[in-house]
Amino acid sequence: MSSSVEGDLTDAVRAGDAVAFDLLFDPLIEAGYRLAYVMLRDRQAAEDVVQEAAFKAWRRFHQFQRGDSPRAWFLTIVANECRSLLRGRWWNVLRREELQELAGPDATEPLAARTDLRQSLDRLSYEHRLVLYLYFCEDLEQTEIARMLGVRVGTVKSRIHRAIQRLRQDLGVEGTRQ
Amino acid sequence: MTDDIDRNRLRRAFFEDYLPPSAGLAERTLRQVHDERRPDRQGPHWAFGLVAVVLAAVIVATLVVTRAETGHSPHHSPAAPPPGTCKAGAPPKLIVVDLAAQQLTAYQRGCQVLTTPVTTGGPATEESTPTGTFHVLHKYPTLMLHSPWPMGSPHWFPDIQVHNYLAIRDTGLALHSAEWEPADAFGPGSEEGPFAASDRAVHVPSQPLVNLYTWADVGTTVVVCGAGGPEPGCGGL
Repeated sequence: MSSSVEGDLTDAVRAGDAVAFDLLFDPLIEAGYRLAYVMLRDRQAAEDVVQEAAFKAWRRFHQFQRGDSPRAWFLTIVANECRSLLRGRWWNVLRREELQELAGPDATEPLAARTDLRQSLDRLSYEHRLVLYLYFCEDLEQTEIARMLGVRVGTVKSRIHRAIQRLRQDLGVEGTRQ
Repeated sequence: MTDDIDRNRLRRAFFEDYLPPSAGLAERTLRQVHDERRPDRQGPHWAFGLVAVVLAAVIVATLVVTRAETGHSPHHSPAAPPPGTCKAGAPPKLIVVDLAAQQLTAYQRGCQVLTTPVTTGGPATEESTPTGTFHVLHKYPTLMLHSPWPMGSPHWFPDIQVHNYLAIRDTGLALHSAEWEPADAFGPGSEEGPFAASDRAVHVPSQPLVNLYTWADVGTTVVVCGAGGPEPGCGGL
């Protein structure tokens, strides 16, 4: 979608045009789901997060600034929803139950089948996983990620660097494993 | 970044076990946003809005007073709370089956919308209802149950039709009706009584089950938490 079309659509959404909202956000729903799924590893939760994020995008559209990327803005809302969910007591309760299930005989196989890198990614902090995903999978610029997260570009760079370092340590690459 | 952890390897790792969204997610999501914003599109009229808010407050207050006066009702129909009004971070829909209390509670965004006594499989027996986190996999308005136990087994039962069957495991674990069980038999202790579920299922009284069946979606999370002590999923909810 060209930036001028995006600009026209955002103006229309701001004026309350429902069709413009759909045109603008329909292509973003799947990107939002991908991010939510990667952060939560739960399809139902990821779909719920995307739906809640879409509500918020509509309600808060007045905060969207012309010229900003709708994709980055929507992914920011999705990322914030994921963070809230992961910090919530409900998520911990549900996940604890699931982890207990995973400890059973049925679940050993899927755990073993995961690659070391995937397991290392799961062990990273939320912030580190998020920044790696946005940069390497969504191909967002570091400046864009910085705007999304409300941090400086230097912080994004250092988070990427540290996240990679931690993965390498975890995987024992370059002899860094103790 | 060196070749050891490159972009492609990271992408592959991020998307291991990836499950694509269910069909029509974008359409469903946008339709829900449409539904939510419909009142705005009818044109804001602050006076009507104010009257509606006052009326809603009066109704809620009346319900609260009635509930306080009559005590805890055994069950009531799920009334959908508006999005975002209950508890932040709570799942949109959640069903909790407390084996110790023999009680089922449905939550919408953290708000309790339905509670009912139930009867599960007997504890510490072959037919005990397993604990864990499940999801509604299928909904069947009616279903013929066949005994998983061979004829001659003390647990064997003849084929019987049940209603509003919410399957939560493909192995037969489900919430369903039990028309043969008297209404006052459900609840604490019933799992050790004559109407304990022989199929490891959760028996739900017919009327609340109708409401639960209508309210629950395929995908709704169901937490079954155990008897014999507080476990995650029951204690704090």
